[in-house]
Amino acid sequence: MTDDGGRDAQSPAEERLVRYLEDLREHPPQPDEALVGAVLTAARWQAAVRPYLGGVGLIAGAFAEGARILIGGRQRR
Amino acid sequence: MDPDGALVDRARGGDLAAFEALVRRHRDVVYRVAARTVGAADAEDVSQDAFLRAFHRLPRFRGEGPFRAWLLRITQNAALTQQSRRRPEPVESVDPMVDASDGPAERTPAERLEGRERQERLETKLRLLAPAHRAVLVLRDIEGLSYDEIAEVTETPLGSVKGRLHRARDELIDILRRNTYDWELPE
Repeated sequence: MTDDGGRDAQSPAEERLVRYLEDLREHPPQPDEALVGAVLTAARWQAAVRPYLGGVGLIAGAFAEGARILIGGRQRR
Repeated sequence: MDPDGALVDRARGGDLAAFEALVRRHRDVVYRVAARTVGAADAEDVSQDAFLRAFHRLPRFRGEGPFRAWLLRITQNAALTQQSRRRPEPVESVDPMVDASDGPAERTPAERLEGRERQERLETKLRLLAPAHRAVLVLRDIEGLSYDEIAEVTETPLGSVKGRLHRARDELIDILRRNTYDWELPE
């Protein structure tokens, strides 16, 4: 963090604006306490299923390849 | 040396307790940046999205810059995604009877009320800025990040950050001058 925001203002209007903006730090928006819990629940769940997603992708790929061969064979006939 | 380095290394190895510590350490700044970019109604969703994106991308985080800057870049991107899904928000009216109970002690109650009202109005006007301008203004003038860190977050060359910041301030001054509220901005 730096505190020299207003020093780089190039005009009196800019300087006043920077002061107004710095005043916004007085009342920062606060996250709900439940945010951390929600993130961790989702992260745990996603970490648990992630290894299986690779397997699902392989199976889906095999089905797609099979379908391609079948359709290709019919079209040649 | 990145103060988050040790936790990041552990979290990258699948240590959820380390990831939790990172979320607790950065939730406030992530939420504030999200709220000032998309508004309070969507800030919770954007923050959650940003942390989960970071969780999945941690193995690819090379540690070339600070973790906080990398996380705020993800937050900005998540906020922009959210904004592109939504129509522009109507500019809501400001309730002058907002809570003015806490402010600097030397101000009178009337000054505190006026100051709080101005802050509420300014938060609303901030959301009218072009996204790239709003990002630098929030990061520099409200969050107080250094130019180096802003360059990391916005993936902008350091030399362009200052120019963009001045253009952002000019744009906001222009918006405020067109407003009926008297912002007392010198010419």
